[in-house]
Amino acid sequence: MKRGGWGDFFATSMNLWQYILKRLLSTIPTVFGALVIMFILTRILPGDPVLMILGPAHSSPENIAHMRKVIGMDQSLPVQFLRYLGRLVQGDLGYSWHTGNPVSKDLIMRFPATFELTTCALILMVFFGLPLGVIAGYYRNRMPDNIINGITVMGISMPSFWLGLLLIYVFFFRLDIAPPPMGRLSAEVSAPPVVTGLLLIDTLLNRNLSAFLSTVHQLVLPAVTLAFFNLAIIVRTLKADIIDTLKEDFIRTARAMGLSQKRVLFKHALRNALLPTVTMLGTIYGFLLGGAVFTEVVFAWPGVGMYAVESIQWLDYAGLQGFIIFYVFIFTIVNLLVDISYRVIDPRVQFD
Amino acid sequence: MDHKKGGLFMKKERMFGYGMILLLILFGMNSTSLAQSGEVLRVAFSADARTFDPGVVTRDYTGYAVIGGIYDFLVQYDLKPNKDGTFTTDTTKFMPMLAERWEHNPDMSEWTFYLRKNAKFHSGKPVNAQAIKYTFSRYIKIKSAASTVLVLAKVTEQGIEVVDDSTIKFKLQGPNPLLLDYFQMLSLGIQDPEAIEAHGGITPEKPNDWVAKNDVGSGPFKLVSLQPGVEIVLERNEDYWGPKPKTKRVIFKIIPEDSTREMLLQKGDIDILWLPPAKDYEVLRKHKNLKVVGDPSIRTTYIDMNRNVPPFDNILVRKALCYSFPYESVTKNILYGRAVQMTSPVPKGAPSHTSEYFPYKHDLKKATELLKEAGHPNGFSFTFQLGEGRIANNKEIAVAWQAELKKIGINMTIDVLPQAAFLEKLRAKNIPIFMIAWTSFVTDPFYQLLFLLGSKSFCNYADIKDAKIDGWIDKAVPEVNRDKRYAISKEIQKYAADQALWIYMFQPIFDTAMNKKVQGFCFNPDDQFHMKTVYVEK
Repeated sequence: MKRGGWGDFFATSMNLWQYILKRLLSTIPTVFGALVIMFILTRILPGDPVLMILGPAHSSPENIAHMRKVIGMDQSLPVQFLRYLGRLVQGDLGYSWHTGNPVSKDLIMRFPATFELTTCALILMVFFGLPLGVIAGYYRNRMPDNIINGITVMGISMPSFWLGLLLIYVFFFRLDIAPPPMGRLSAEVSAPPVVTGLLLIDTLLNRNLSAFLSTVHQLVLPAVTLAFFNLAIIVRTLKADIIDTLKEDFIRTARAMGLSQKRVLFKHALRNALLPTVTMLGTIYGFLLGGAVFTEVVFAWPGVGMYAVESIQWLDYAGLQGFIIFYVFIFTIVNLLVDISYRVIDPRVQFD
Repeated sequence: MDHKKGGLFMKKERMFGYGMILLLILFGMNSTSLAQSGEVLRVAFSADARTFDPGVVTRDYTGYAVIGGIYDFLVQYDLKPNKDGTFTTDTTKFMPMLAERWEHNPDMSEWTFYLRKNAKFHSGKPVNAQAIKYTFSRYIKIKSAASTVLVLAKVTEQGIEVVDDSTIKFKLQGPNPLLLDYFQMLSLGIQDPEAIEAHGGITPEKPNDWVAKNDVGSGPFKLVSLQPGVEIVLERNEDYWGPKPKTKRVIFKIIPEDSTREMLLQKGDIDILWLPPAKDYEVLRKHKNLKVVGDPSIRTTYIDMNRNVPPFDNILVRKALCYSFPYESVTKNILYGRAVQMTSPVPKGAPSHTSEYFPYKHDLKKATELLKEAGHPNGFSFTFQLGEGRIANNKEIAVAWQAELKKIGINMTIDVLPQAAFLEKLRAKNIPIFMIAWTSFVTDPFYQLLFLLGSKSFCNYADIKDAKIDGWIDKAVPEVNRDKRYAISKEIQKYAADQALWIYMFQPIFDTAMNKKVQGFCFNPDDQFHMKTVYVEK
C-alpha cells in the first residue's frame, strides 16, 4: 500500500481535528503568560503615556488627571489588568490613542499588507532557497557551493533596512525601473474595493489589470529584500540535511537503479531532507508575519510592523498589547500548520 | 559522478528562466506619471495623523496640517506676500475669516463678532452663531486640549451668547487682549453641529471617534479619502466663500523613512518634503530640481537650570556656564547653519523681542574667572539630562559642550532619557539642569514668559520662583495697552539675562524642501504646514 501524501493525510483527518483542537487549547496558557509579561513590561517602560498624549503645553494637573481617567490609568495595575482581560474575553483589544481607532480594527486593517508582503517573500525564499540548497549540498565545497554561500551570507549580513535602501537607490533612484517606494499601490491607479484586503486578489476580483500589475510592481523590491535577508537560513539548513541524506543507503539504491541524478536529488533526497527546512520556513514565516518592521518602514508599507513601531514610540499601551497578542496568535497558527505539514511530508509522523 | 550539461538543468530549469524573464518585464514596466499637471500637490510627512478633530489634536503635525485645510476659524493672521512669490504669516495683524468684523469693550473683557453670512459647512448647512457656540461648548464639555486653550482665553460656556444668527458675543472671565490670537489657533476650528449630532453627538469628557476621522468643517479643502498609514487626500472646496486655494487636490503621503522621502522628492514623486534633517540641507539645496526654503522659527531651544539646586543656585556659576557654551560652533557645525542664535526668553520673531541684553559669548577665560569668583576654582561635576528625539542633534550638542566644560574643570555626565521618561521627570520639576525646546502657540511675549517663568506654571520645569518676575507677569497679562505690555516684557528679558536664568542656545530654521515648480509657499513661525497658497506650477 502506498503510504504518505494527501490521501493518507485525509484518512487520518478525525485524528487531525482532535489534534488541532488540543493544540489550540494548549495555547491558552501560552497566551495568558505572554499577556502577563507584556502587561508588566509595557508598564515598566519608562515614561507616562498621558504626558505623551497631551504634550507639555496641555499638561495641566487637571488635564492629566482627566486623561488618566479617560484611558483607564487611574486604577491600580491589577485592576487595569483584570479590566483588560475582561474586555479581551469579549474580543475587545482596547483603543489605540495614537491612531484613534480600536486596536482590533487597526490590526485587521494592516494585517493584509504584511500578509501579502511576507507570503510573497516566502514564495521567493522557497523558489530560490530549495534549488540553491540542494545544489549547494550536491556540490559541497566546490565552486557552485562557494558562490551560493557567498551570496546568501551577503544577504544575511546586510541589515534589512540598509538592503532595502540600497535596492531603492539602485533600482528606483538610479536605474528607474522600480516604482516609487510609496506603499502598496502606485499613486496613479485607484485602489480596488476591499474584499480580502490582499491587493493581488482584490485587483483581480475587480478585473483591474493595471492595478494588479502595479501591486506586483510595488511588491517586488520589499519582497526581495525580505527574501534575500532570510535566504541564507533556508539554504544552509537544507544544505546540511542534503549532505547527510546523500550518504544514506536509499540514495545509493536509487542511483544503483539508474534513476537520473536530478530525480535522485529533487525527489528522493529533497523530500527526505526537507523536515528541518520546513520548520525553519515556518519559524521565519511566523516571525515575518509579526511584522517585517524595518522593511515596512523603508518601503512605507502600511503593515503591522510599522504599527508596532509607532505604538512603542507613542507609548500606546493598548496598541502594543494588541500587537503582542496578535503576534502570539499568528505564531501559534503557523507552528500548528508546520506541524501538520510534517505529516504530509513524512507519513511516519503521528499526531498525538 | 556525471552531472555535466543537461544533467541538472533541464525543462523545469528553463521554465524557471522564463519565470525570471517575466519577473524582469513586470519589474521594468514604468508606470506613466500624471503628477506634474499642476492640479495635484503631494506632500510627504513622516507619521500619520492621529485625529482631525481640532479640539483634540496635540503634537500631531500631520493632523494640524489637515485641520488647517478643512476647517475655518473665527479670524486668521494676515499673510504678507514676499518678492519671490512666497508668503510670510504676519502675526501682528488679523484678517477676517468666519467673522467679518469684531469689536470689544475698553477693557477687552467683552467681545462681539459679526459673522459672514455666506459661509457654509461641507454639508451645505450655514455657519452661524449657534454653530460657534456649539463648537466651543463641545470643546469645553469634552475637556480636550482646546478646553485648555479656552480656559487661557478666559472663555466660559455661560459667557457665550448668541445675539442673532450672525452675531456672537463672548463675555470673558476677565480682560483678554489676546483673544484674537487664541481664536486663530488650529485648536478652535468651527464644527458642523448637525453632522456631529448625527454621529454620536457630545459625550462629556470623551472625544468623539467619528469626528476624529471625518470632516465636519467649512474650510477651503474637503477631506475626500483616507488610507491609514498610507495617505490622506484633500480636495478643493469649490463652494468656498473666500478665495479658493490654487491646488485642486492635496495628497499627504506617509513615508516614515528619511532617506526614502528624500529620494522620492529628488525623483519628483512628491512635491514637498516638510522638515528635512539639517544634515541634508546642502544636498537638497544643490539638487537641480529642488529648492529649500527656510525661516527662523520661534522655537526657543535652551538649557534650563533649577536654581533651588546647588551649584546652580549661584548666579556666578550660572554665568560661568553661559560663557562656556560653544554657541557658534553649535549652530554652524552641529546644526549645519540651520539655526539662529537665541538671545532672549522671548524669541526673535515675537513682538517686543530684543537682543540688546544678551551679553554672552563663548569665552572660557571669563568662565574660569567667574568660577573662581563663585568659589569653584577646581570646577565641579553634574549630570545633564536630555530627552530622546524631540530636539535634533541634542546629543551632539551636549557632547560639544561637555568638551568645553572639561577645559574649565567641570565634569559633565550626559544622561539621555527616552522622551516619555524625560517628560515625566520634567513635570515633577526635579531635573537640576536640562535641555528643552518650547514653541508658544500664541506669539505674544507673555505666552512665553508666563508659561516658562511664572511660578505657578506647570511648564516652569526649572521651578523658577521669582517674586519680581511674578509681579511683572501679573501686571502685564491683563494689560490692554500693547506698548505697556511690551515694555514690561523688555524688563523681564533684561532681568532674565542678568540673572543668567537660561543658557540661550538657538532657534532652529524650519526648512521645507520642494520641487522648483512649487510656488506660493507660506512661512509660519509656528511649525505647522499651511497649504492654502501653495501650488505646483504647470
